[in-house]
Amino acid sequence: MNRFLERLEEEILVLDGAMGTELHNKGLEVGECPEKLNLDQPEIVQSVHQSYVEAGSDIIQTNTFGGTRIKLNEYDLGNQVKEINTQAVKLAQGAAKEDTLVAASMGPTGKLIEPMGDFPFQAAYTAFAEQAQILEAAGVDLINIETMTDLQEARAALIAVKETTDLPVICHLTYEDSLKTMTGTDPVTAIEVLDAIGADVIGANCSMGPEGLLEVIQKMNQDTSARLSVEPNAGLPELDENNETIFPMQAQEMVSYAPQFIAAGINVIGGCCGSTPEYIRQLQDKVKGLKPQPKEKDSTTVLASRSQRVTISDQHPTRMIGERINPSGRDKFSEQLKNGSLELVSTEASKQAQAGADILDVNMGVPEVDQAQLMKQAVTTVQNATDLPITIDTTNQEALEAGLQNVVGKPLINSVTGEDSSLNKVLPLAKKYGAAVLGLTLDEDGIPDTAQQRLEVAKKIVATAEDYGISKENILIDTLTLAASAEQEKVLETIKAIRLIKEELGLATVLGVSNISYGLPERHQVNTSFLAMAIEAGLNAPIMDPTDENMKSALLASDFLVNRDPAGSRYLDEFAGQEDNSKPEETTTAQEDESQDPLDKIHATVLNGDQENILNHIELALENYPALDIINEGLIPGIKEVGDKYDEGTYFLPQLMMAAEVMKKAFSKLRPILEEQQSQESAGKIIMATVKGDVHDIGKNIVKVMLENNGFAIVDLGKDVSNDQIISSALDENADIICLSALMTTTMPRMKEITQKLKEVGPDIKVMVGGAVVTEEYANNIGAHYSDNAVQAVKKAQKLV
Amino acid sequence: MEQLNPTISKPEVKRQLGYQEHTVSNPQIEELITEAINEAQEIIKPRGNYLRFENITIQADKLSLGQNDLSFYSQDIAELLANQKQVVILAVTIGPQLEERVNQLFADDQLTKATILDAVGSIAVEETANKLQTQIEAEAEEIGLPSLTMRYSPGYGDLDLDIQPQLLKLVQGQELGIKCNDSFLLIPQKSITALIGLGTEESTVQPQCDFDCANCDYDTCIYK
Repeated sequence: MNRFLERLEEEILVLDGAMGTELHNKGLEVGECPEKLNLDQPEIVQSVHQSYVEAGSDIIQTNTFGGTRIKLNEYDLGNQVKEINTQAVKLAQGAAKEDTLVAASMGPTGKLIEPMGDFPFQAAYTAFAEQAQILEAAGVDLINIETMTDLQEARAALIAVKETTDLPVICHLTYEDSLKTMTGTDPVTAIEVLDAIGADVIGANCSMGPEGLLEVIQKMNQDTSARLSVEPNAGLPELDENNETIFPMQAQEMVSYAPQFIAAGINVIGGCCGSTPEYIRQLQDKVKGLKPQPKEKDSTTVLASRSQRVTISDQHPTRMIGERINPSGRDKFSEQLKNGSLELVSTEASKQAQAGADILDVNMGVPEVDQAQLMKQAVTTVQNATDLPITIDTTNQEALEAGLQNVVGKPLINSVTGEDSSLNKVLPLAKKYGAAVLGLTLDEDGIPDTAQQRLEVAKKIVATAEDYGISKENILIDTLTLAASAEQEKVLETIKAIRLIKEELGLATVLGVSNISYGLPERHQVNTSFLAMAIEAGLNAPIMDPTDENMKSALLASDFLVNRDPAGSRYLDEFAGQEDNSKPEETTTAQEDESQDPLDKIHATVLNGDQENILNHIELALENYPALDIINEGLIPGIKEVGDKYDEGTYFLPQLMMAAEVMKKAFSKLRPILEEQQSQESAGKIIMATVKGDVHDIGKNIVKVMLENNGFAIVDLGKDVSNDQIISSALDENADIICLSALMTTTMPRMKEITQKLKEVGPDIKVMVGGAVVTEEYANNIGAHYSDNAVQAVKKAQKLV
Repeated sequence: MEQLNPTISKPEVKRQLGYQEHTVSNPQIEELITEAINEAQEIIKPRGNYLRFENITIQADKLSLGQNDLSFYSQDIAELLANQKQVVILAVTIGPQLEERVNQLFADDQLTKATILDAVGSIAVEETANKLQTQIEAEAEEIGLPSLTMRYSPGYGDLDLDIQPQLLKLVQGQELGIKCNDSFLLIPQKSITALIGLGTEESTVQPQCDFDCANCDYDTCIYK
């Protein structure tokens, strides 16, 4: 066993700290290639290694972070990739003590990989494979992939190392304050994907300092048995008085996080930017003798997209695998694909996601086209249209590999059979790309007649997969549906086989359902009954049409009955709002109305952005409440809560706008009543304009809507409005506040002019400013008030009047 | 000009609209975003053009490109182009149709749709510029200048907006349907002009650092 893996079981291993910052301290200029020093000034690099070895690092890392051919090419050093990497390993080995492990650092290429960028996956893979093989030949003990901001690039690097070397590998991603990577992956999804590909240790480095990273590691540890690693940076860099970059956090403070990291489950700990040998010395003192937390193997089946995971198990709802991205039997679809148009792929993806699909099957079975190219385009299109995990449905090996390369996440391969030729073709790819695989219970002799025989095929698939290093949770089984009209006696064998698979193998099961009714009239009658039977027997994920209401209803009802829908909440969510025809209509409405206060309902309607029901609710409320109360106790608290949710990031702009539309509708109904009663109260009067010369008014419009909805009377002068016009309107209207928007530095000075002029002509009028280039500092300087979004603007305006 | 039709990524649009880790979207919004992307694909008219200058003359902060085709003052651009062999200026737009539609939607109180479509437009024009940049990269590769600097637009750093009319004239902005107003703002709003330096080695000039490393495009930074 590799000595790294051996020690990992028993010890907390301490990595080294920053290389880049240390080299910089020793004179490397910003903009120089740090890896070139391996050749030009080896003594500097080695002295950094030495300082970390002396400080007590168990693992030191080679100066090869930017050592891929792609990255070195930026300095015209691509042709020295071998010398630079080999020399780097020698320098580290020269500094290492006998028990010091040497890890090779591998960092990003600087290119954004397809589908998000335009750099081919294969090209990144090749560069990482080249570097990894050089490093292995030079004798490193392990590879450390670091600072990856895109899951797809991390996949490329990790697959390359696993495929072309025998080295253990740590894979670190970098997360932002949102606790997602730059391209939108959360730690839990990342760990699922990287674990499936075979990372030995998974971690996070750099970015937000130890505090933020602790949160990332804690999230990771909730849901995994993977070994974890962390390399925090010494806080966010700052500039000192000499304009030199400094990292604010001292060694002692950084080290104080170590016990929490260990409690959160890490096995390996080091430092990133700004961390020093002193930090490593204190860290080693702190962790010496401590043991890593025990890990329990987690054997749940999980698929993932770039940004979400779907768990498939008996404890979770039955998952719908959407079958509609499939041109077979659909002439228009086939025709489009032949002509290179993927419009229907995109439409079908969105439609199924909208209908509640959990996973999307992608089948591009069109004759006479480049299957691999089409599969690549199709999975890219689907990933752009939705965030759902993907099933790659093909028997063409090139298409399968193209799909596997371009799916960001952990897909399901549909499918492998019990035939040796199929197993030996598909399973190596599943292993290489970390995909789950769907096994069909058929072999060289066709589909077995009995459930018992189908179980035997499933056992063979599991055994072969395990030989390839694919663990059981990554195998799903389809016991195959035959048309009931042709082989009626075999229907129950399919159902029985599901039961056997569950009892004997405990695997997740999948079934294409609709084939059962082939050749029969009223197919949905048979399909829904069969689906219910299969779910009762233990089916976890039917392949079906999620837009078929009958099928979806049967699934929800079945899930409720087999207790996979606790308290029936999904069933009730879907159907509780609908009228039940078996009951007299009045009773239901009356009951519903009594159950909830009309003002609470209005509050909820605003919160949910439900335009359809707002007017009904307002009318009902008007029977018991004056219009003013409806506003002050229903609508305003509703929009306030929306604003709070927007502030905390639970809602984003569309929800703010949907709530605003509901408010507008409500006001259109209530305003005439208020005017009649002459009880209209305004929270204050505001003049709004985008300043002269500036034509951008989206931001201003959003702020306006929010102010209006909070009871302010607004006079909107539009965009490109002169200073004089703004000021004279404000005076004429007796306004409390002028709100000004400017997007560019060239138009921003109008704000200052208006504010100064007002000091003479209207000193009581307050000025609020906002826009892309406007800062709080600027606002303070010119004597105006600042807010950086619509919700803040409302709060500010409320304070000012 | 070859195909500039941008691929509009839904996750990018969502981020533009403020989507974060813990934001909870819903099917209705997802559908609206998908519809807006589809609608945008129908109505936008992505166009772009670029022009390459073989000569760069720099004296302190005074720059002259080509045979004095464009001259202006900017310390930031002087630094950007210091080691570059050639320079490209470019302009792209997605046409006025999308923003007209956004304005109409706002006027009709269709606030959600308007806001989403506007965000889609912002992503679309960025992507159009990226598409054009791919063509520039290919040409740069051919002439042996494979390293491109960042894309630097007027309004950034000390590059004043008042250079817009000259830039537009050179890249035939009029033909593309791009104008600028008296404050030097581009019309249609969803348009971009920029300079890119071409050289043999990676430019060491970085945008002013705010130490938002995770978001930074500057990938040769020593602070790994």
